[in-house]
Amino acid sequence: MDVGLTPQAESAVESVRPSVLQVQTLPLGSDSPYSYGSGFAVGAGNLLITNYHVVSGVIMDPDRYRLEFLRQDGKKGALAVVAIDVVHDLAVVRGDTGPMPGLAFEQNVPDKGARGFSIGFPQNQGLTVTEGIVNGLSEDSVRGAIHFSGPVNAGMSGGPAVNSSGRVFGVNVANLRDAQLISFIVPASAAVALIERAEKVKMPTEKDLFNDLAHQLQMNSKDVLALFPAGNLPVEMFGRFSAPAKPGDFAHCYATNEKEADKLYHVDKYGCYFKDFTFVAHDLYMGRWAFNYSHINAPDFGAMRFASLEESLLGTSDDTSATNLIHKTRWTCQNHIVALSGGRAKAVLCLRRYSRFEGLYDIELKLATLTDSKEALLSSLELYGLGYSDSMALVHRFMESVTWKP
Amino acid sequence: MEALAFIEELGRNGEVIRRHALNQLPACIGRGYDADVLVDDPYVAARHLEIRLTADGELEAVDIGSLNGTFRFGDKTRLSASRIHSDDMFRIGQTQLRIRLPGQTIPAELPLPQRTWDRHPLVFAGSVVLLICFTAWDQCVNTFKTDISDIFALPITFFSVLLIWVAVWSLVCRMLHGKANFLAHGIVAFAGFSVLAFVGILTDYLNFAFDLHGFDLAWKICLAAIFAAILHRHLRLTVRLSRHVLFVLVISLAAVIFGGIGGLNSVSNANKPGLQSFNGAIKPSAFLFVKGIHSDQFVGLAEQLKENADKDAGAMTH
Repeated sequence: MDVGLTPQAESAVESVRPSVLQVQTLPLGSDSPYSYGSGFAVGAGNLLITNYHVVSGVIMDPDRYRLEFLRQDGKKGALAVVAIDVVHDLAVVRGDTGPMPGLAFEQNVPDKGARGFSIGFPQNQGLTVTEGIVNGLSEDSVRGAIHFSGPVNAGMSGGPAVNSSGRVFGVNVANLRDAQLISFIVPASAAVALIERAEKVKMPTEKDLFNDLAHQLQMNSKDVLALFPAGNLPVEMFGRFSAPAKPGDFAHCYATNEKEADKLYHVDKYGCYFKDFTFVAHDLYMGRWAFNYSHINAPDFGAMRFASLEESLLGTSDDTSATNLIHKTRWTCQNHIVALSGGRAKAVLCLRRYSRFEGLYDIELKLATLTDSKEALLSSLELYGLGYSDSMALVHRFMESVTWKP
Repeated sequence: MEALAFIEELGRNGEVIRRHALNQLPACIGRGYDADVLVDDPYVAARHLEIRLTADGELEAVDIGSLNGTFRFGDKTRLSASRIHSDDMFRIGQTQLRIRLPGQTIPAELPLPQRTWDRHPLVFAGSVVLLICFTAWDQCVNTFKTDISDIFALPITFFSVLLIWVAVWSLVCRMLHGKANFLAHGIVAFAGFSVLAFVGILTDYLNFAFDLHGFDLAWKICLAAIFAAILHRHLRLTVRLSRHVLFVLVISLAAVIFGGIGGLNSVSNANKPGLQSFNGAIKPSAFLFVKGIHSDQFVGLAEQLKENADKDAGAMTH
């Protein structure tokens, strides 16, 4: 059980305990859960809050999955989704759970160093409490995630994170992304906003929920791309080339400068990417972008040899993720010689659509500068799960921002 | 003295190996020393077959007690005696015989081939050197690897595969034609595939130089035509076929091989849903003859991609 909690913490946790239950996603026609999460009662006690990713199965595939709750006393029953906030990974659900006290929220983010308790059901181990320190709002998140240095295990997702007086300051998120467990706490303000919305709407159909999901993803696309500063994109020099660099604090950037002894040429890499992308389904993430450069230098090469080096580096497609055709169409590509300010470049644009989401695309731009010197810049811009016109506007700005002295 | 008839011994491809004149009848055909026509075939009896005149003055072939019998060509019934006419073919043992009566017209002799350059060892060597130089040039100019084995791997593989190709043609040629024609096949293969590789690279450069689109099928047909020409030369050395049959055969072979490669490619691409196919060829900018389109135009052209993807998505959700 919960060892080592202070008496004050003990009472805080005890007061929360009866409001927490397990949320299970089950395949239709089976009693074995497909995935677990946690949830807790709010308000008058007839609504529960959990994570979107805990209920994503029934939003994306209502023909294949259903939702159930399991109370600590063993009582089971059906759950229905009332409202979702895919961007903050939240969902409000309703079910015949019997009386459960609704928990109260603390909308102010706790001070740095404050104690916090994360409560939920990791896998099949029963109710678990983990203690940690709140480190304030995470600095590298545009969504305002709370950084919590305590273990949030898989299955505790959707459970409450409470302060020492038993008030909920956020919702646990434990998420497997690329085989890495990422934990953070969604601030209470987002949950309160979603509950207010849920209380106003009448019970949505499966179709309503999916359409709402699609709409939220569209809105998110605009928000994500609106983060780029208006006017000129900030640029940096890569040799004699100038190209877009870190567009703001919302982007994570890296640079490498490795000299490999066994190679006759030198490639510097630089790239930026957006970390706060959106979980849509366990095999589907949207609203992300990245751009990468390879700055090639090979002063000893002849023109033909340099061109074929550039060609081979351009041809390397990083699309190794086994994208199945359930979610996306095949790529369709175009390639042209383009005139940029500075000179000519080979430009390749590939595009594919999310088959169930009208207006959401993956777009990739590759640019290879064509110059007489033994120096070239290869750039790629990847826009995943974003709207067409905003993405293409960024593609255009990006192309215009790659310049060099002839 | 004028011969009464001729017996021709035929080879595997129906060519005449020996001709025997029959100056008197009856005449005995067999392996024995006393036979009038000697046939050195261990499956033939010492005295096997007799050619004689019937009462009404026609020729007759009579099996005179052989173990393995006498057959008309292509027939399985054993003959004891049979009337024969000019050009009748018989089989005794494993030997093919043809009866010929006098008065045959003989075609004029063939002129000796005057130009034998296509069988000349120097031309062969030249075509081998051409191919090796070409692939080696391509490798040396374009490679950016340091390992020398990487540079020579391709020319050596290419050379070995072509040698096998030539050997197989020579073998088939030896079986069907009786002569291997190794040098001639070698010249066709090494020179032909040099041209094929050269045109392949040339199309790459043309595509880049003028930023061409939509010529992929045309280039493929062009390469297939060169390949068909190579097949044509090989087949002409190997079998004697009429011009029309040869033409149809070559076209269908080239279509099957090129179509097969294309089909295999599209099947393997169908299993790669994340595959991006585009022409990413980059050559030195000195070979670039177009100004390039403006980025506005490039972005505008993407509308077509969007339409394609929307159509795809529509087909998927139904």
